[in-house]
Amino acid sequence: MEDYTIVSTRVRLARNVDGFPFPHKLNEMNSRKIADGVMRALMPVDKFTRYDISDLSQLDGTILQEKHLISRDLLSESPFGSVLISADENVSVMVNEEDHIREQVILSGLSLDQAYDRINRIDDVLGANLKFAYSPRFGYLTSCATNVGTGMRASVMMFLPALTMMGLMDECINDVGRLNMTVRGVYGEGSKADGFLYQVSNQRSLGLTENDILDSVKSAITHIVESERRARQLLRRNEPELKDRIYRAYGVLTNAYKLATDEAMQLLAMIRLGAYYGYMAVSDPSHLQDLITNCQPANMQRISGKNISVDERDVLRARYVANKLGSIVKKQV
Amino acid sequence: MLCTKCGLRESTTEVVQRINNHIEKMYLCDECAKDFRPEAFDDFDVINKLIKGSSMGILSGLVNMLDAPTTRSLVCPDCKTTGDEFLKSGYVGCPRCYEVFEPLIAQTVKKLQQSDKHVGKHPLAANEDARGASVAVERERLRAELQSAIDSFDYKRASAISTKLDALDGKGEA
Ligand SMILES: [Zn+2]
Ligand SMILES: [Zn+2]
Repeated sequence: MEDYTIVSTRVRLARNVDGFPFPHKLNEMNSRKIADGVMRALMPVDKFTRYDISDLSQLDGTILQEKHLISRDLLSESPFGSVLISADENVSVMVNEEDHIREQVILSGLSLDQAYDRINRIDDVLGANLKFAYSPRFGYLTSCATNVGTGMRASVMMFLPALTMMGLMDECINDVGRLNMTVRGVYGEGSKADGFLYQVSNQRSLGLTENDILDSVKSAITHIVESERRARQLLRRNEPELKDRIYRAYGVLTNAYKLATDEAMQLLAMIRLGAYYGYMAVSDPSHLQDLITNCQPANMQRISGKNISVDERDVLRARYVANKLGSIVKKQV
Repeated sequence: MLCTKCGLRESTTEVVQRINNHIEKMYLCDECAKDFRPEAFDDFDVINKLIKGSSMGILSGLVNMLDAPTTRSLVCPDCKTTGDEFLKSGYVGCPRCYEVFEPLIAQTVKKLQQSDKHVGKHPLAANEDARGASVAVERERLRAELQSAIDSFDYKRASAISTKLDALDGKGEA
C-alpha cells in the first residue's frame, strides 16, 4: 500500500582501481584512463552515456545534480571527473570523484534489495574488468579511510511532514543514530522549504556484510515509518485545520501567477500529505517526485529551452505546475 | 571570497546548514542567494566532511600516539603521503598507503566503525562461479582472518576460525 512516506532508495558502492593513486593525487591522463576502462566494461551491460565534467556546462551539470545523478563534489571539486548514466537513469557511475568509481542505483519506493542486486551485478562486471584495490583486512580500499570495507552506503529518501511539523525530528534522529544511521535533510534541514524530505543512511561500512547493512537500514526505516504514521494520526485530530492547509496549497499551486522554488516545494509537500489522507487522488506518486525535480532551478531552465531570468522562471514554474497538477492530482470532495 | 556555488561572483551571503550534528557553510553571491534552496547533499559522507572541515586533524584524537610514533613519520613510497598527513586529513593517497600505515588506519577505523575487519563481499567472488574457486577464496579470506586474530592475541577467535578452515578442507568433524 502506498503510504506516502518512502520516496526512493539508493545504494552506492565506492571502488578504486589498484595501482593508481586516488583521485586527489591523480593526473588527467590517468583519470581519463580509468573513465575509459569503466566505459569499456559497462558497454556490454547497458547503454550508458558518458559526460566528462570538463565538457559539461554549469547548467547541464546542475541539471544532473538536481536529478541526484551526480554529487556536488563531482561538479565542483573533480576537474577530471566523469559520470556514466544508464538509459533509464537508474544507474549512475561517477568516476574520479572522491574515489575512482562510485557506482549507484536509485529506484523509487523502498527497494533496498532490488537496488543492491542491480548495483552488485554492475560491480561484478566492473570487478571482472578492472582490478579493484582490496585488502583482506580492510576490504575495498577508499581514499578516505573511513569508507573502507564494503564501501557501501544504502540510503532511503523519506517524506516526514508530520514528525517535522510536530517538532519530533530531533528525537527521531537520535533514535536512529543509536542504530548507526544518519538522517539529514535532502534539501537542507529544518527549513520549511525542504519539502520535508530526509535521507536516512548507514554510517558503518566495515565489519558488516552488505546484507547486514541492508537489514540495519530496513529496521531503521520501519521504526521511522511507524513514528511518522503515529504523528500523522495526531495531526488529523485537528482535521478542519489540516484539510484547509492542504486545499489552500492546491489552490495556490493551480492558480498562482508566479511560484518560487521553495514555495513550490512546500506546497507540493502538502499535496503529497493530502494524498496520504485521501483528500487528493494522485494517479502515480512518482509523478509528484518528478514534478519536484523539474521545479528545481536548472531543470526549469532546461524546460524553458532558453536562458531566462529568475522572475521569468517563477512565472514559467507557476504555469508548468498548474498544468501538470491538473493531470496528476484530483481534489477529492 | 568567490561564491561557492557559481564560482563567478564575489560572495555576499553566508549560509549555514545543519546536517545531523555538523555544520556546513556556504558563501553565496547575490544571484545564487536569490535562487538558494539548500542543495541536495545527496551522497556525501558526513564523517568525511567533518574531517575535511577540521584544520586540526580530527583523526589525531582517535589515535594513541604512543602506540604509533614511528608510523606517523612514515612516507608511502608510491604516492609520498605521510602518516601525519593522513591523520590531519583522513585521506590516504593510494592503495599502497594501506600497507604502509596499517596500524594507524586500523586504530582510527576501529574507533569510527567499531571494527577493523572486513567481512563483506570480495572482488574475486565476481569471477568465480565455480564452487572450487570460491572455496579457494574463502580459504584465503579465513587465513587472513586467522592471522589477524593471532596478531591481536584473540586466541578464542583464532581457534574458531581454524575449525572453519579445517571444515573447508574436509578435515575435522564437519
Ligand atoms: Zn554565485
Ligand atoms: Zn600511498
